[in-house]
Amino acid sequence: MSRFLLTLGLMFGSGLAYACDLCAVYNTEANGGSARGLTLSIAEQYIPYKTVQLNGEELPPSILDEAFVDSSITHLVPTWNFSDRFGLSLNVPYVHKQFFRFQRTGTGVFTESGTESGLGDMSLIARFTAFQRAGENSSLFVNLLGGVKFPTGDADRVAEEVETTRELDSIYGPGHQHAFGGVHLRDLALGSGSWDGVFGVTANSRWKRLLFNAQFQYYLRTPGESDYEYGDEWMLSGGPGVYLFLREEFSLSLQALVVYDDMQPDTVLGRENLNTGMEAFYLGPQINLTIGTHFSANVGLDIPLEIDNQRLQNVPDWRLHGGLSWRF
Amino acid sequence: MKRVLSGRSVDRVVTVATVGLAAAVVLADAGVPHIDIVEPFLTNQVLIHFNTDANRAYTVQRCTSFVPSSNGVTAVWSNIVHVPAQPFNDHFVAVDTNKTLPVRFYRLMVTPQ
Repeated sequence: MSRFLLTLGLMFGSGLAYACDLCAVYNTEANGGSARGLTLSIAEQYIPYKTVQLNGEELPPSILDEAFVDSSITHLVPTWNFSDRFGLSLNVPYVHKQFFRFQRTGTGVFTESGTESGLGDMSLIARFTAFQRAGENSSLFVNLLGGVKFPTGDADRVAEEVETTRELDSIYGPGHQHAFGGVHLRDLALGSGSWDGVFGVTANSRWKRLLFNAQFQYYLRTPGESDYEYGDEWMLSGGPGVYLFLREEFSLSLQALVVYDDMQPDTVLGRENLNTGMEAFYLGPQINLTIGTHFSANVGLDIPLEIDNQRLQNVPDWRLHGGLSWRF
Repeated sequence: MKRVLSGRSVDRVVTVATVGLAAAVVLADAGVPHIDIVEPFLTNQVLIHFNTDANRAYTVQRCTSFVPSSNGVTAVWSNIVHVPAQPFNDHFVAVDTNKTLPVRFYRLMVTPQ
């Protein structure tokens, strides 16, 4: 039983699966965090961006409502745990984006629709369990995560963003808001072309049937394709939950999760990209499931409470995330 | 759609005409949609600056000559840039990329009025 509880403690610290590299890794820790060997996980995030906002305010109905991006990112995450304290995960994302957008040019406003699919930016993440204590009635785990995101995804759309900005700068002058619609070229990119740092801390606790998790993540972005630099991002998430079933062969818990997500503005041609940067609060349920000590799954929904974006952007309508994990 | 020449913009017509270009301006009424600036751009291209009001679509049109006729003056206007209506005010710069015309007249059409 104690081994099961140890596994469980690591597991539900890893249950979150937002559109981020670390979240997919949390998922894969689920069933293998406490045991040496290989764990394979698959995590999915689906986010429809259909709501257009100007400086945090939803706009009245207009032609701009036609623009959208439906974003799906599927992460395949093999993890090798060298010990109960140390593991290494490779995050391999497959990105699929379907979109319709407007593009302002000097000769008018054009529309573009289509899909962008392919390998995203892979990352290698190390986990170190800094603290672990598991008993029959309570447990506490603290994990440190750190790694590197590689420029493996196609960043052609980023190059287009830079080139278009340069062209419009020559017409409007630098600093003018160039967007027409809330879906921008950088939103379609599969990769950033940059080497980025990924850092995180997770804390997972349980007392009898109650649980509480908290996660902190920080993404340190560097200049990538055409010297375009995505803004740094940090997230804080967590919330209470309860085990509806808690047995060694089967457990099921329900959580309420609050997520705070802060994305700093991007940098293009050495200055701030005006239509980027966002601060958002989400709230939603998450269900976590384990069957035995090999299989785990989770699914959750983030509902926006408030999204304060800079200038004109399409923002998430909601975020659906889930994952399956198997420890060999 | 109103097509009224703006007296206020005549100065700009004169200014631009010195480089071989001319601008005509369409206003729904004084102070409302109008061309702010017409200026040369790169080699023989032209920039046409105008503000856009929320929920109005704009079309920049070009004419190369006015011909006297029994109805007064006849001109053939062609669209060069269309800007769909947005739910907020904005500023737009249209580029006339035709590099061969020695003289051009522009007007700005807005819908709804």
